[in-house]
Amino acid sequence: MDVQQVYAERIKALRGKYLETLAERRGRLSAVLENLKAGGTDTEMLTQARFDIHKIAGTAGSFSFDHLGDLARRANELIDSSGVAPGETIQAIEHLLAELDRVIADH
Amino acid sequence: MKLMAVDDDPTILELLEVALNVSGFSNITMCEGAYEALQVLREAEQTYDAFLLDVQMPRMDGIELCNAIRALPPYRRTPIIMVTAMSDKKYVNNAFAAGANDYINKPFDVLELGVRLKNNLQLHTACQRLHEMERKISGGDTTDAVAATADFDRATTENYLRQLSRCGAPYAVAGFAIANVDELAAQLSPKQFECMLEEFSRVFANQMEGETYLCSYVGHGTFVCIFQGSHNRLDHFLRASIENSFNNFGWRADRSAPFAAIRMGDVIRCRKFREVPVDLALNHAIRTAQATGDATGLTVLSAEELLAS
Repeated sequence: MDVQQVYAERIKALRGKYLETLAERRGRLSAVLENLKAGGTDTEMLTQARFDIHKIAGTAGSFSFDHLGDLARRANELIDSSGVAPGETIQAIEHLLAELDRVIADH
Repeated sequence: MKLMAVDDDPTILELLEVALNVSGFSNITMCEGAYEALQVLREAEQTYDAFLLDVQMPRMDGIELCNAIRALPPYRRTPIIMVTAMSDKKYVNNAFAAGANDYINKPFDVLELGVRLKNNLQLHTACQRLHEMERKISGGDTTDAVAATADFDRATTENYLRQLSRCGAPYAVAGFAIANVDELAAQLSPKQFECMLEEFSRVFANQMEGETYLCSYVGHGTFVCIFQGSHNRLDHFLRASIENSFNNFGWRADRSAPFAAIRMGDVIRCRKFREVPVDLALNHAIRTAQATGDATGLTVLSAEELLAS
């Protein structure tokens, strides 16, 4: 087996734990989404959401969840950009949550 | 090889551990935060050979940590690789400005991570060996005193340029050379020579205050500058101004050393991702700065013009 195959095999063993982490992040992001939709501006919640999204962006690809990683990067960029309409950020988080649901359900 | 990986995400630390293991590294210290990492460094009996740092971490981020590690004498030149999901150019600039040698985006590729780490380690080891040899050999070429680290700086510059290209940020590349470096090397002690080069960096920093750039020593009295923003400042006035300030600095305090003539090579402007191969741009900037004879240098070239030349 070459390096990439050995790596892929060993990553498989971490997948279960990673999915549990994703489920926890999903729960927090869902709460943030509800808050944003209600017009809330809870800074602490937004900071946590940014943190969760950033972590998904950095890790999803390593577990072959490439689309999830792309959506997280997009949401991350929107949160980091100034002058982005809240509606656009809400939509990006909704897409991310939908993909999180799909990944968690499929695995 | 003793490595340290710092990331506040335990998942990333696990991924890094696996990736480094399969690449042949087994002695890895994992830290979940910058303060923990600094504490481990303070208490370590054996120094670390390389660091892998996340950028975005709570309390102290990876860029501040990189600065703090560089401030520790044993780690002034130890390879530091940023491993991060932050690809925005401001993070790239800050990381290299803090002393990082390389920058890898998450999610990382296991092969790329292993290769980049090994390259940085090999280059660092070779530089250290040359430095050691230079210390032992008396009466050698004075320029050897700093030549040992020049290859390492050049590699870091290439890494920076590649990362900048990935960000799609426009940049300009220019070389500055001390034209009479051999004459100066013959008259200055190794320590004075090293001091002179450090002072060049200081003069350059003063002239470029407020600008975003990376200036690295690439050997034989030559510096290469990666400059962001308008290239209009890279002109004859800047060259003359650097030359004038440089010759009034401390290294020439007693005025017994010869006047240092500063040459500036062509300025290469790149506007977009992979417009021109990184090594081609750097080589041209360095070669034209070091050119002797009547060639005047300082022609502003676009990427297309460089590729056609």
